[in-house]
Amino acid sequence: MKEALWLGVHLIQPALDAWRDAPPQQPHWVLEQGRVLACNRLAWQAGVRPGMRQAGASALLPEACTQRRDPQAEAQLRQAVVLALLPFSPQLAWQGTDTLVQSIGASLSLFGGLRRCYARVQASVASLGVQVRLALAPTADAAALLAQAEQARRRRVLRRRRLPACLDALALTCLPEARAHQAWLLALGCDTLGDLRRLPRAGLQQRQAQAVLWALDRAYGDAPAILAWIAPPASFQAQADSLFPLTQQTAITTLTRRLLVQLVAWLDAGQLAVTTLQWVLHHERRGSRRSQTPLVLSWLQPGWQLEPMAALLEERLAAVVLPAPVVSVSLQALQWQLRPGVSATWLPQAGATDGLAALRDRLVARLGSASVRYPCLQSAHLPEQADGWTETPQPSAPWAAPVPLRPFWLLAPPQPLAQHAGAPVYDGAALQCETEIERIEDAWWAQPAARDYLVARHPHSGRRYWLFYDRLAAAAGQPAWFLHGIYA
Amino acid sequence: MSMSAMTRSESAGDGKPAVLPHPDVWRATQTLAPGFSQGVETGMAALSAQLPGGGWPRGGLVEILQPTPGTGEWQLLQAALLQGERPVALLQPPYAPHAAAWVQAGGAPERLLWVQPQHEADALWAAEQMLRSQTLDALVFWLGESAYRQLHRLHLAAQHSHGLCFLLRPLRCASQASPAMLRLALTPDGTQGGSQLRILKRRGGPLHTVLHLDAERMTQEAAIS
Repeated sequence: MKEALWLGVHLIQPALDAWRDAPPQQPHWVLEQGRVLACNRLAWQAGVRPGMRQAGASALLPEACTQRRDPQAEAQLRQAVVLALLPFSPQLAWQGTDTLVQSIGASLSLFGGLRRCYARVQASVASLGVQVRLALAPTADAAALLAQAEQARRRRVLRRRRLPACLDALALTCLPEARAHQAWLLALGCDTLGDLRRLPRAGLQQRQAQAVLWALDRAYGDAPAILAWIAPPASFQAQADSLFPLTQQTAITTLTRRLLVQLVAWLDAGQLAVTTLQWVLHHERRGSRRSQTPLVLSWLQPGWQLEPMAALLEERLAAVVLPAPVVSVSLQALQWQLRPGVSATWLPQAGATDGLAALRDRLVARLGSASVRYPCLQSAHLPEQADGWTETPQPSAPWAAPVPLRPFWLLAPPQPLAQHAGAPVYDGAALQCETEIERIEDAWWAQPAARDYLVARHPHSGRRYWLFYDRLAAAAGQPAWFLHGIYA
Repeated sequence: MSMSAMTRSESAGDGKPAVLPHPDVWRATQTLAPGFSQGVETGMAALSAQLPGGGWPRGGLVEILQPTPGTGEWQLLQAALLQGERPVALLQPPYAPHAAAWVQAGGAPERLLWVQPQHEADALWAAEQMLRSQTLDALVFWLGESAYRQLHRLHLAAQHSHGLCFLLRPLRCASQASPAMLRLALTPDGTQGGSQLRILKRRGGPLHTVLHLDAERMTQEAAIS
């Protein structure tokens, strides 16, 4: 039977990583209640330590970047890490506030073996810009301990029989349950988990250290662990902030890409595809200017892959004029559906229209949705009412074609023509009528229209025009000849 | 290889070639260039006989030059566009197209697509995207004045697609160079009605006759000019 394999992921400095947009070359720390909570490597090298007062740290490094601890940003960071790990296995659980454990033993063959799976996990977490420690172990608690331990000789153990040797070397402070009894355990000379395990169980039980025993049993695999799996959220909404106002398109799309990665992970977790997306650009407030630019993207072809969606978002952004620099972007999925099933045929069909939907989405992303139109014929007598153009393809309603040939171009609205000796004049010459009159009357109860249509030819250029004589306008004494279409 | 074929036939003495001519070699006695894939039927027998491949060529630009829109280009293209099942795109037409005319001629309304961008640069981009997507049967693009490099880029994109690409440009561009494989000039015929069609450029020998396109009956006969 294959042994179970658990992956442990520990977030080293979530308070600092919540502000991971800070430039890496600058010293940077996060404050909580006036004291330094976490600092980056450059600040550490200059002498800043967690627990120092703000004044002391600023005295050491006056030009450093200082942020307050933001619990909301940290929650979003944790959500982002969860969404990055969910595609690898649905069995993911929190172990403490900063450590995740995931059972990947069953997913190894899907991702091409252990090394490839591990590399993919590393890459997907690294793309978020978060500092993590990864560990592998046969039990969930052991994986969590190996990931949390600040110093460990080996963090990756595959065989259960090598697990005790690996865990025995960890320091006592790694076990959260042992911290309550740390003082008297250290006084005993018990520094490592191996020493703790060799202590008599009855003695620990008498000293109210039952939780320590259970934790040790779970870690060494002697007792099962009960974990609460994380479920993917019911809807997707994420926001990414930038420390500096952004004006370049590439910077905004790079920031949005991070949200797109999370969206793709959320879609993968539920096998969904998104059809309508709301992308809001938040601007810095300056006086009475607009503070948000919402962009709604709706696609004919549901999207679930990163690159096509990123390309469509880039095209959409290129067509937008921003009133102010952008300080944060947010992405929300408004409409989604189940992912379409895999095609049963081996070769792509010749009449497939999937490419057409993707083409239409690309055109609409750059030109705007009003620039791409499909015909939608209505059954009406007046030509301008019968001719309809919509922005999404509609199924065609039955339309009875009239007998006389219709022109290819239709002018909207019909253009009035001058008259000369009773004949319509256009383009410098009187037009010669060629066909018989086609009488169209409509809507005598609301807005009556009575028109006599005929085809006329220009004597010099040879072009053919579709004119009508408006009898009601003629009766009212107004110009009656109108040009309605041109034959191509 | 081709040079040796020609020398062998010349040394044979009589008019007949001794070996079959190479498809990449065009002899001046041939009117049309050989070795082309089957073109799309134009609907007019006299025109199809004059085009290499027997019809409109796929995978390249076809330029139709006319003084003003409305000189019979739709009648010229209608038969070819109605064939096929994939969509037909009208890009940047000078007036709003009337879908009823398309349906009356026999086309399915779901095949038609009207793209009207705001700027000329967007129109060229849209044409390239539509050609490269390989999902359309035909693209009819009303393009005004444009530089050679833009036409060349469209020509490269058209080579990717398996459909037709028609460029409708003003007649004054006839004197400019163009990478299109076929160039026609369509002018209205004041005396007889209808339009005159001249083939300005095709793969093969030049054509000195003028073809007449009748508006009502769509018949076509050749006239010596």
